[in-house]
Amino acid sequence: MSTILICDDEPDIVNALRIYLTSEGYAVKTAANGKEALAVLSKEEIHLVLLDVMMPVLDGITALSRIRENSNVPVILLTAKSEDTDKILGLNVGADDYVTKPFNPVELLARVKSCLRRYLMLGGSTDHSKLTVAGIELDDRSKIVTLDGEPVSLTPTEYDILKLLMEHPGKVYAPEEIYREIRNAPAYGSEGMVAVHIRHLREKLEYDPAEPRYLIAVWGRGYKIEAHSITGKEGL
Amino acid sequence: MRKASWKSNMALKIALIILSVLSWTLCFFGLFGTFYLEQAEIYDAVDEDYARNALESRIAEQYSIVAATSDHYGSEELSQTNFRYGVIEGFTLKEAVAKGLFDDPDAYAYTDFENGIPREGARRVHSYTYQDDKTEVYVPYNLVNDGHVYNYEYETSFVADEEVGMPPEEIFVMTGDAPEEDSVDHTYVVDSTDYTPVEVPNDSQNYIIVSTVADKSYDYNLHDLYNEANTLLMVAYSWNMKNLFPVMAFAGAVLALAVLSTLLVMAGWRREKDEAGEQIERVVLRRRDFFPLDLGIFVAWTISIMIFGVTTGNFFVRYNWLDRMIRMRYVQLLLVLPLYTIAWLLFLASLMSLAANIRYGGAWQRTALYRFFHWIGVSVKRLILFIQGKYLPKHYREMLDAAVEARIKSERFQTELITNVSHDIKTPLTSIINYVDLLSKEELENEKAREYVTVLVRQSERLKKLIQDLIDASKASSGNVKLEIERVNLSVLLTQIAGEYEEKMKDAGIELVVQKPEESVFVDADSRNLSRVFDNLTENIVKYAQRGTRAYLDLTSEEGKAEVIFRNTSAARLNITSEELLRRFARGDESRSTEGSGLGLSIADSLTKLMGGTLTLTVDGDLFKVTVTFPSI
Repeated sequence: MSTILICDDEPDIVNALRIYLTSEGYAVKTAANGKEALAVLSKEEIHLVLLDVMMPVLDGITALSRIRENSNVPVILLTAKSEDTDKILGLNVGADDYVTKPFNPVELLARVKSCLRRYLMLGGSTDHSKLTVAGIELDDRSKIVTLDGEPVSLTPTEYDILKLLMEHPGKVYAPEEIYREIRNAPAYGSEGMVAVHIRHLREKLEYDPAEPRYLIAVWGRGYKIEAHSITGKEGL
Repeated sequence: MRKASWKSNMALKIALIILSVLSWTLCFFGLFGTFYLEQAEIYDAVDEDYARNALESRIAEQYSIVAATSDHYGSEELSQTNFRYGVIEGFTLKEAVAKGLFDDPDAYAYTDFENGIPREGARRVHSYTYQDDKTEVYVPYNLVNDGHVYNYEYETSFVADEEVGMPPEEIFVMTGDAPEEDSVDHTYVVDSTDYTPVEVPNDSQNYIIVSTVADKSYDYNLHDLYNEANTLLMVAYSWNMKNLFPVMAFAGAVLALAVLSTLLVMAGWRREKDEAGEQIERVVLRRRDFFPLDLGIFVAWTISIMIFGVTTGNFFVRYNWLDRMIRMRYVQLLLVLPLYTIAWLLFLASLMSLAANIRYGGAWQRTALYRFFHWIGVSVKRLILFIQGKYLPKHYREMLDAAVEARIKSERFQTELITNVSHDIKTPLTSIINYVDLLSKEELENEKAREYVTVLVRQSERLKKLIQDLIDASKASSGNVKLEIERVNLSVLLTQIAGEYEEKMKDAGIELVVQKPEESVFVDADSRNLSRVFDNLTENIVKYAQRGTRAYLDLTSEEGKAEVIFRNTSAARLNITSEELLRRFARGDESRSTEGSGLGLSIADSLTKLMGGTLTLTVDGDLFKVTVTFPSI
């Protein structure tokens, strides 16, 4: 059983999170600010930290940098500021993931699960036939795609597109290029279907398809898959 | 703060340069000519009066003016200055005879002189007469010379050109009205050496008596004197030519002063629009502009003032009437002196600026002199603005400043609000959403309670979306958006957008028709924000288009502009103008019930503007058309 530290200055949010996490079977510790969180971390064995950014006494970013001085415990930032700079700062300081308030409980739980899985199953599979990006795992031999261990059912075209993108994480493929790669034929204007498939993929692989984390649209250029991305549909 | 380019006021600047060159050419030619003339000693002779005076003084050096005759003849008027009349119009004796100057039997001559003064008891002898055309002049027989009386016969005659043995020093002259009892029309000066008589105008009321003095040179020749006078007068009569040079110098100096003043004033201000973009022009004396005026321009100023002073002085010296009208010393005191002072202050300021720039790196703005010139620049500019009717009185300026400040403050406040509102609103919202979610998972007995919770879930999600839209809208409209402008392929972007919405369109019963040219169309924009614009516009079609109709998405590129046109048939009647639609929270009344914040178009509009494009809305009956235009590459 994993122990999760919830650190937020808003008791109601802490309480709600506690209810969600305990219902999933996690043990929960709480802290009202960064200082308390550090105190808890030094005493207890914590497997994951949910850390609010804006807190009195000691803010989340500072607390995170203190945590990172002697621990690699997974940290998910809870941020109300949806500013890009905050996300970049948080990820640079050492956060493993972030969730923007107001968050969807389901999404949060999924992220927690994903983070814990990566943390607890260190190393994971080194099978070369398996492609892994963040929580998405693609096994080319069995043609099975899993998201955080859960199998996802994909159509053959969706599978081909995902495979193409996952083979080169971070590389941007133009819709036409994707079409050519998976169909072995020029698109002749039918590259529009690629966007539709991407959308389907996103619905299956993203917790919040409206705010994709992995399957990113690079507007005006194409699509890519990104392990950690601060760019999303959110433009502002 | 835009640096004024050279091209602004081009015409004025060129005019100033031409004027400047002209003024300095005038100055130097004028001065050269003036000094050259002075060197040639003709300079002083530019004026008739002056020439006469000069001549007079020359004569006075060699002749004693018989001032005593003043008393003798009882004339108060007799003075040196009257002498001139005896000089100007000169004739030789022959000429005098020929002209009949001796016609007058009442002309007189005195014979008995001692040291230039007629002796006691000197006889007044009857003057010359001539008869017919003879060139004979009859002189009194009893001329006295050197205390010795020459007893000439009364009828003795001599020819003018001949030596008659009269000792030169005896010659004398008699002019003027007949002394005491008699009066004559003509007065003459006759030189003993060559017997040159000189006529004095009839209207002369004064006596002029010239005599040689014994101890002076006998070489003196009145004729020479006359000639000299003539030369001088010749120069004097052509004074216009000679005065051209000083006039040139003077005009040049005045022009140079005007040009320099204009330059200084021009340098003394710059146009600057204040932050709020109001039409207030502030005046700041810029160091950069001021600095090039260093030394050179101030030295030029100083020199031009000097020339100005010299040439004005010349005028006053030369023209008595001017001097009489305005005393030169006042001119010097009131006009030239202050100009000199300003010139030297400017010169000093330029030196100080130079020194301060070297020493403090531009800190000379703190000096009192800088502030003084700044003030001059400001005042001149304000005066011009005032004349143009653009200058605002102080209290208006203060009001405007306060308004601008308030606006800046409110903008800052808005920025902070956007940042903080995220936290302050989202925190309770998070709790609401979470607890509503928890509540919906509880097994509620009450049917109504479950129904209410469903509403709560839906509405809290909507609230979340609304708040995000609101924050985005404030960010976009206040320009708080970080833009990463890059080359964006519009064709690809539209394909992506259309793909994202394909299913939603299908669900809404709308057929989306995308029409675009074969070649890719590129624009410079921030791709994420541009996608947001198109996203919002496509979302609008999904929300507000009539079921079962077609919607069109056209991409065109021509004449350097790329246009993306969204067209759809509105489901609800559009009883709202396009301007109103762009306003925040605006929706057609009939569309109110539909889900949506009413911020989509406003955000799209703001973002498009921020990226340098334009968004236009056309409502034609039920046809709803949005055109996004960007300059294409």
